[in-house]
Amino acid sequence: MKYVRRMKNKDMVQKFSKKKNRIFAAILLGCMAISFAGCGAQKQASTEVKKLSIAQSAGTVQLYYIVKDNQDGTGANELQVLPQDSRYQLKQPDSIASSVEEVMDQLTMPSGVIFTGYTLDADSNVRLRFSVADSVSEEMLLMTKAMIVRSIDGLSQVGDVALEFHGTGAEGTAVQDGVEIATYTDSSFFYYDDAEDSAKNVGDVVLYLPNGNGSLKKVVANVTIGADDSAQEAVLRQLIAYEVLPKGTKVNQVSLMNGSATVDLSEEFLKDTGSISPKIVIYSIVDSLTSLPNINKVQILVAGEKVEKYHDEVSIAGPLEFVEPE
Amino acid sequence: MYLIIEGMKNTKKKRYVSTKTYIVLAVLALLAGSFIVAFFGITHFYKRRLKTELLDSLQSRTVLLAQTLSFYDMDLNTSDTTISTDIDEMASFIQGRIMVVSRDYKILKDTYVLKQDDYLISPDVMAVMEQREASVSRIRGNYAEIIYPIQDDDQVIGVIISTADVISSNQRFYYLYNEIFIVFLLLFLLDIGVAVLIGVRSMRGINAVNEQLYHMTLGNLQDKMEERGFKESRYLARNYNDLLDKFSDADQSRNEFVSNVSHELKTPIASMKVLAESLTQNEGAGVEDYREFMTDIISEIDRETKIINDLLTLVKTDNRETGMNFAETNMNQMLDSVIHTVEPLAKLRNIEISFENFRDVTADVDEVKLNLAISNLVENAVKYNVENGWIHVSLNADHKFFYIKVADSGVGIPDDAKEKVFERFYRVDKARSRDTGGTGLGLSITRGIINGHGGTIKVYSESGKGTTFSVKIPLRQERVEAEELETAKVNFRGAGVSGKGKKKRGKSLLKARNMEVSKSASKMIEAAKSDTKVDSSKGQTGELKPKPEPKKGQTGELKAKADAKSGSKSDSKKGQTGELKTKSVPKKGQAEELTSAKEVERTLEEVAAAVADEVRKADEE
Repeated sequence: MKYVRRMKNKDMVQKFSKKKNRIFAAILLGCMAISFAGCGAQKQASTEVKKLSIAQSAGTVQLYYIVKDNQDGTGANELQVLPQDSRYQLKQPDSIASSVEEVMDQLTMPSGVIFTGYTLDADSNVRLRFSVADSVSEEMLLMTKAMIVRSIDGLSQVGDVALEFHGTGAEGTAVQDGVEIATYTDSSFFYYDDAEDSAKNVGDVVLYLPNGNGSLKKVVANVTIGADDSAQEAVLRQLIAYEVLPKGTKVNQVSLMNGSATVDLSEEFLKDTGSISPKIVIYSIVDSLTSLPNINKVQILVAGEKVEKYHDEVSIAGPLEFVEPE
Repeated sequence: MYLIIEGMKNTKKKRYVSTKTYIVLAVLALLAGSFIVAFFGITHFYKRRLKTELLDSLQSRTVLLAQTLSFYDMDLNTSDTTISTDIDEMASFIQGRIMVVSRDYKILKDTYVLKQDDYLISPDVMAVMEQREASVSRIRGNYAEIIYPIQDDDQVIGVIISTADVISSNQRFYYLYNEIFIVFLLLFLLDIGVAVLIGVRSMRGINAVNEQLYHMTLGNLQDKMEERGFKESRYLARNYNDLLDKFSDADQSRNEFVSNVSHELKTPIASMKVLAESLTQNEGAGVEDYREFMTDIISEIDRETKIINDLLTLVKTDNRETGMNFAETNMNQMLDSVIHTVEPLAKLRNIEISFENFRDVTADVDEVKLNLAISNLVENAVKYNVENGWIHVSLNADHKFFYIKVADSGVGIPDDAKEKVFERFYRVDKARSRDTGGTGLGLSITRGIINGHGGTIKVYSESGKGTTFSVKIPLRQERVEAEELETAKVNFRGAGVSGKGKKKRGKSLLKARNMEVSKSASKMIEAAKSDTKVDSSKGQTGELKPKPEPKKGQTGELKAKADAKSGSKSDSKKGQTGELKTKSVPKKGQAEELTSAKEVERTLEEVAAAVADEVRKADEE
C-alpha cells in the first residue's frame, strides 16, 4: 500500500521537491550568513546621548515641577522633576528681572522651601535665596534645586544661576551648615537611570595638543566615554582621532597602579609621526593623561613591550611625568 | 547505474531532484540549524555566567570600597590616604566606572571625570540613600551595576555606584566566540562529507533495485532480484519477485488451459474426421451405414456445441462485473423447481430425491445462474449415483449466510481427485463421463457462479460411499462486499502503521504484500484482457491467440508490463497505469479471492468465447 500511495503522489512530490530544494538552499545560506555575521562583528560603542528636545519659541520658557510618584507600590514616593505640559509665555520676555520673578512665581515650591528673594548682577548672573525648614529632606532639596535651575536656565539671557539655601543647620537636615551656596547650570544635574546611561557619557576633558609651533597647547575637548573604555582610553582615542598619534594606532590596554598609568599601544604607534615631532607626540600623551585625576606618571608600552627610545629621540623606557609646555 | 541513466535518458525530459540530494540538503540544513542554536545557546549561557561572575566580583569590591570610604568618613582628598587613586585603579582594573555620591547627591568622585562635582538624580540612588532599599545589584543588558550605601553608624552618608561592561571586562568572551565558531565551522565542513555519505548509503539499496529492474526490462525476466540492503529495498525486491512468480504461475495456467481447450475441442472433431474418413474410404457402404455414421457425427457435433456452450457459460459466470443480476429470490422455491426438473432423470435410475427445508430463505442471488449451479450439482448427483440410490438436498440459513447441501449415495470421488474436481475439463473417470455426456466444465461453472455470489463450495466424499457438496452463500450481496472491502483496508493500514515489536506485524505485512501483489497482477491482467478484447472484436482471429499484440510494438507483453512497473516515467505509460487503476477499483472487495491465474484464464476464456462465436457464425452460414 505504501508503495502504491507513493506512486500516486509522485507528481505532486516532484512538483514540490524543486521548491523544497530552493527553500533548503536558502535556509542553509541564511544560516551560514547569520553564523558569520554573529561572530566577527564587535559591537560599536554607541555615542548616543539622551537629549531633551523641547521646541523653543520666542518669549516662552519651559517650566518644571516636582511629582511624588508612587510607582513601585511600596508606599515610598519616588521624586521626579518633570516638564510642564506646555511652555510658559513670559509677559515681559525682554526684562531679565521680571522674567526671573515670573518664573519663580510660576514654580510650585515644595512645602518647607520658601523663595525669599534674588539678586541680579551686571553679567546677568542670578542668585536666588531660599529658606529651608528642617523637615525638608535631601532628596526634596535636590529636586527643588533641579527644578529651579532647569526652569531658570531656560531663560536665554540669564548667565550663571547661584542658589542660596538658609536652614537651621541642625543635625540630619538638608542644609548642614546653615547656609549652602552653589552655582549651577542645567548640566550640573546628572540624570542617571541605569548602568548603560552611566557608561555612555559625553563630557569635557583636558587635552594637550600640538599647536603647530613645535609645542603643546591646553585644549578642553568634548569626548565620549563609551561603554567599553575608561577615561584614560577615551583621552588616548581622542588623541588618535586628532591624528597626534600615528594613524592606525590602537589602545591595547591602560592600567593604573599607584598613581602611574601604564599605556599599552599597538605597533602602529612606532610608525612615522609625520609633521609632529616625536617628543610632542609623547608629551601630548603624558600631559593629557596626567591631567586626569590621580595620574602622576605615564609608562608607555608598545605591543606589551618596553621601548627604549621613541624614533631614536625620546626615551620612553621609564615612566614619564607631566612637563609644562613651553 | 549507468544503464539506468542511459535507459531513462530517452523518457526523461525534466530533471528531477534525487532523494540523495534531498537527504544531503536536509541533513546539512538540520546540522546548520543545530549549530546555530548551539552556538548562540552556548554563547548566551556563557555570557550570562560571565555577567553573574562579574556582578559578584563587582559587589565584593564595592562593599570593600564602601567600608574604606566609611572609615575615612568619605574624605577623598585627605592627604594620608590614596583612596582616590585606589578608586581610579579599581575602575581601570574592572574596566568600568565608579562614582562616589555624598548624602546631598553631589558626585564626589567619578572615574570618568565627566560628572565630577555634578548632582546625581536617580530614583535607585535615592532609594538606597533613603534606606528604602539595602542596595541595588543587577544586570542591565551587558552591564553589571552595583549601587551600595556607605554607612556610618546605620546612617547612610553616601553611595557608591559601580558599573562594568561584561564584554569589555572579558576579552575571553570574544576568544570564545571565535573558537566556538571555528570548531562549528570545521564540524560543519566535516559533516558535509558525512551527509553526502548518508545520502549515498541510504539510496544505494533503491539504486540497486532500480538497476536490476532495468536489467529485467531488457528481457531478463527469469532472473530473480537479490534481496539486500535496508529493509525497504529488501521488501521491494521480495514484492517484485513475488510478482514475477505470479506472472509465471499465470503464464503456466494459461498454457495449461489453452492446451485443455484445444484438446477438448479437437476430440469431437477427430471423431468426426474418423467417421467421415471411414465412410469415404468404405466404398461399399450403404445408406444405413451412412445414416449410422452421420448420426454419430451429429452427436459429436452436439458434443462440440455443448463444450463450446459450457465454455461460454463459464466465461459469463466468471465475468462478475457484468454477468450478475442480483435480485431477491426465494431459495426454497428455486430448489423445489431444480429438484422437480431433475426428478424424471432420477426416476429412470430409481434414485430417490429428498429435500429438507429448514426454514424459508430469501437471498440476493442471480436466479438463473444459481439455478444452473444447483442443477449441475443435483444432476451430477444423479449421474454419478448408483442404481436405487438416494440424493439428499437441504437448505438452511443463519443471519448472514444460507447453506445448501447436496449429498448422494453415489460412486464418490477418490481422495487424490477431490482437489481437482472443480478444475476445467477434469473428469474423475473419463470413460464414464463420455457416457453421461459431460464436458468436464460443470463443476467449474458451478464454482464460478458460487464464487460470483461471494460464496464458497466444499466437497466431502468417500470413494464408493457418496459425495456431499456443501455450498455457503451470503444472504445479502452489497453489504458483504462492503465489509470485505473494509477488512481489506484495515489490513492495509495495519501493515502501514503497526508498531514495532508486535508479532502480528510480520503477518499482516505479508498479507498486505500478497494482496498488493495479487492486485497488481490483476491490474496487469486487466490490461492484457483489454488488449485481447480489441483483437478479438476485430474478428481477426479464427484461431486461439493467447499472446495479445503489445500496444507499443515492443516484443513480449511481459516486458511491457515490467516497463510499466519499473518506475520509468514515460507519459504514455502513465496514462495506461491510470486506466488500469480505474478499472480495478470495483474489484477491491474481492481482492482476497482473486488469483492472477484465474484472471488469466478468464482472459483466455474470452478468447475462447470469441472463437466460439466465430465457430457458431460459421455454423449458421
